[in-house]
Amino acid sequence: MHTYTLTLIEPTTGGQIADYSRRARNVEIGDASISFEVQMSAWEAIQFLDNPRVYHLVLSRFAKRRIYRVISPTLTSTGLRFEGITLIDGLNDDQYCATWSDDEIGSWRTLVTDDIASAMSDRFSFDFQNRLYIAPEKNATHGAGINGLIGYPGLAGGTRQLRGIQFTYDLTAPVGWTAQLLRRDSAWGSLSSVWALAGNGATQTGSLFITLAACDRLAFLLANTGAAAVFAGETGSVYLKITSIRVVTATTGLINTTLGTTIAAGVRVVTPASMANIVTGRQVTVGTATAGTMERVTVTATTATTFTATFALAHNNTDSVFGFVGLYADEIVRDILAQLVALNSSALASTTARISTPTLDLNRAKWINASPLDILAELAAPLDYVYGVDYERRLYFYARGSYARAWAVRVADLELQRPLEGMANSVRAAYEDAAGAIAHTAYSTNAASVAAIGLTRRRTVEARTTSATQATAVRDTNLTLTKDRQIKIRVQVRRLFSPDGAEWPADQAKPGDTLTILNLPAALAPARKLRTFTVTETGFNPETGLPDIVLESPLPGIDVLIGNVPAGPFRDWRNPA
Amino acid sequence: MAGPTLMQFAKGTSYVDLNSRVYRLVSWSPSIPQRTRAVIGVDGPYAEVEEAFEIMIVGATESEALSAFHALVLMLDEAQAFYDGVQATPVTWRIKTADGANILADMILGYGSDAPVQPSATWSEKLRAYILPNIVVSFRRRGRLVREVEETSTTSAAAAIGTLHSVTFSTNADVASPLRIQFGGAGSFISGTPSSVTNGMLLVGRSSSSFSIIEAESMSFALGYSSVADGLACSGGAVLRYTPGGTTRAQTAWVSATVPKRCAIILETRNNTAGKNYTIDLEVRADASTSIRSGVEIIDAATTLPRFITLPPLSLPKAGTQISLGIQADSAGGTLDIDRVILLDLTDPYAAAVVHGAANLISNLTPVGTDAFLVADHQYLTALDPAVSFRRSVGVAQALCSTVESNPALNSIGTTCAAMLLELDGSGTWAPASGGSRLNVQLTATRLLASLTPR
Repeated sequence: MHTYTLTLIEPTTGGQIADYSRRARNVEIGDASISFEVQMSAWEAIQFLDNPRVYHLVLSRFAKRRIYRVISPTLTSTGLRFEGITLIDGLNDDQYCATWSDDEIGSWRTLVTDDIASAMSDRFSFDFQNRLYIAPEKNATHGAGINGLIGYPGLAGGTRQLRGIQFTYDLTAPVGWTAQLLRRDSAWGSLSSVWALAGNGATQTGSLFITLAACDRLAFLLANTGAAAVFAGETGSVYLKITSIRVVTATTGLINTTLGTTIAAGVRVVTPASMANIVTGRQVTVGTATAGTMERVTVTATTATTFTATFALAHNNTDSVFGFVGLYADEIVRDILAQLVALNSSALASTTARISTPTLDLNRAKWINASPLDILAELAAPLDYVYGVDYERRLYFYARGSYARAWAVRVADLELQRPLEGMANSVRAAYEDAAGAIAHTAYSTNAASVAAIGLTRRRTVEARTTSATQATAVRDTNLTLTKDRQIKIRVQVRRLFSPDGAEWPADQAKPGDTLTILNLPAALAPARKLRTFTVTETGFNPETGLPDIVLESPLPGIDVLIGNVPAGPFRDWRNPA
Repeated sequence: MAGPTLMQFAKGTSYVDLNSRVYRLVSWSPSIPQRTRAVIGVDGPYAEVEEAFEIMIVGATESEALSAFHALVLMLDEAQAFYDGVQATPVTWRIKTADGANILADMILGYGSDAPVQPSATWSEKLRAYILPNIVVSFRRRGRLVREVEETSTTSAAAAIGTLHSVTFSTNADVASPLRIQFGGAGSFISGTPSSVTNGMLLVGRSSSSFSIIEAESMSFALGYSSVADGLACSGGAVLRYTPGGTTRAQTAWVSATVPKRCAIILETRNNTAGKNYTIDLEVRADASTSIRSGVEIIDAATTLPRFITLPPLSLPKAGTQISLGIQADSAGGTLDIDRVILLDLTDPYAAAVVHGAANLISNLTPVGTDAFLVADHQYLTALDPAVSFRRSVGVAQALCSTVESNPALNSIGTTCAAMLLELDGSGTWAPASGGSRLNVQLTATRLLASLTPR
């Protein structure tokens, strides 16, 4: 007889508006939603209909709460029907507009005199074929104040400013010519030059990582700094070529130290001043800003104080070691949460304690007025992460199964189906390369599945990325999810037990938990996964106290309680607490 | 016919006496409430029932008969109006089975499935004889009949807030009976400080054995943990302090505890470091080899003041004998303090944990120093819903709590009752305190002895 209270709360003050524990009728409670009716007069009901405040519904028992946001108060002939969903709806309170990392060549464009007066685009040749390329045109006049400029316009109205850039350069120009990287404000106004390289008549190449004082825009410049004169060389004989470019707005994971060891070229072990963020496989840029002294190397081994790499150049112990460790999804999720909390402090809780850090670098991460809900879905997909808002308004984002619990039940009724639909045991991912061309990963095939089923079913999944690494992760995640026939099952659970035999309150099962049906033969577990299933939706009947548990993919006809919330492929409202 | 010596409807001081010269009970078979598994909208383990009986009205005049008929209809109409929330005075149904028996009462919850007053087809036949025969009266009521006279038991001495209090009643309640809990006394909450409470929790069980209270500092003999003296009115003078050296889960020492098969877990905690987050769980074992963990809860960085954290309830295949806490920090450094671990036995069907939000005491309970009480009142016969408030005395000035969560419709069975009050006032102490010592409160438990049948 441990009962719940169902109260209506004004979220900004925390004040209780009403206790509907007794008056609520036809109550339906799920992990994602709640609905009930209250008999009331039109005079009482009107407060919820006349431009009503957004209240919270709190279902509470033994000091544990489930908080829902009232989304659709509905006047009926007998009173008011309340419908609420968890505070995942708080993710719909705002849109997100930010660039975190951009490696897209298409994000850059030729600057013209309308942008910057000195940008004489008609005197240069430009191309954007997987590179930024500027070359003075033959027979055009070039000199001081006549610049070839390619600009990165940033994201107007975005919430983040540019803080770093990495690129590989190739400058072929005679003395008197210069290549530069310029910081610019949001109107292309000049701020500073952060990199400059003078022509010397030879081809100069190198890789750079440059941290920036915050700015809105960037521009690469190629110009003759001397007196104006007609350029008599062939077009393309002088040029600036930029490749492997990446612009970032965060430098949280920055490697910024000195080499610590003077070395000759070759495979070397160095002892940098700091090993922070230096791990095997990481690319770091080593050298000084002086032309020809900087290179990008890959770390092949580490100890607590040293790393090993193959160096093409000799270096001094004072040479800089730079690297951008990577952009991880949790940093973006935290920023989204901070933005939403700043907007409505009573909606989502500010804690980031349930946001975990994955290790997949996001080289292209930018959104223009996107739904935070969609962004979380996009971020979670390649990681096999789950996300949502728990009953205490806390945003969570962590690996599927992190807080899963196991249950064991004997079911009163059972129907189980293994449809072929949706199964694919050979999967590849389609993505765009940095030049915007369609690329595919190789197929990954699960041999065990092919052998068991007797045929190969191929599918190509879409990966919204320019990274082959990310696309591979998307492919592998999808293969894991689809290599076996899907399971559709309907069960009726009367009591909930942990595997050790302890009976638990019916409301403790959460999406993501596993449930083993003891009625089924033990031989079906675990490899065939026909005895233990994943809980996808839960609820309970407040009139009978019985749990309402949906496993795997529900059979047609099962009431899908999340029908009121926007759908997403990896959404999960599990509450680990 | 022989029947109850008293059967009446009562609305305040207005009565319709169904066993009188005018109203005469013809036939009645009492309705017996059944147990319910409903978890919302119920105030005890029993479901509402529909009661029905047949009466006749015998007037001295035609007018008297018709007036009595009208009064009967009006009474049940007002009962429905009250249930609909538009009437201030509730209507109760009162019976007394025999001389010397106790009056039993129940609140009418409006109409049943049929019309509340159904005259017979021969309604007009004997009107000239001032008789209205075979009138069927039906209504819905809460379910349990309760004695109108309360039974009260008070602890003999006041004790610090947070102490487990027990009382013994003089009567053995054989049916779960609506229970009112009152904690307080002279200056208990308003002795100058605190002027308000920020939140609190009232824990109730059948007896003290429904509680298991562990001073957390007893678990300190483990890496990363220490027992630290605390002068902010903590329990036992010291707290368990966790100083994370990393981000892996660190476990406290095991200590003996009586752990029921199913229990609620409440922790008195303080996150001393802004920006730090911890996850925490309770691990239980009955022998040295097998242990079971509760679900985890987050202790976030929302405040560095003491607060109550409730872990997910824990179920065990058999009772546990030792507990240990597991804490995981999101980064090294900082400290987390835990004063006590409180386990409440959920196999006790009448165990309850009622949470309340902030209440302003000074503006409602002045003058300072007068009696003040926190009261969780079932209001079984007086209101549709239970209430939690701070009061100077029952029935007068109330300081309402901003929120009340978890059902405060408390019940008691047997001869004993135990309760504990946890309060915070936002001052940084582990409980409302004066001069470094927790304020004292006294427990008064009052119940309406219930019955499933007229007796």
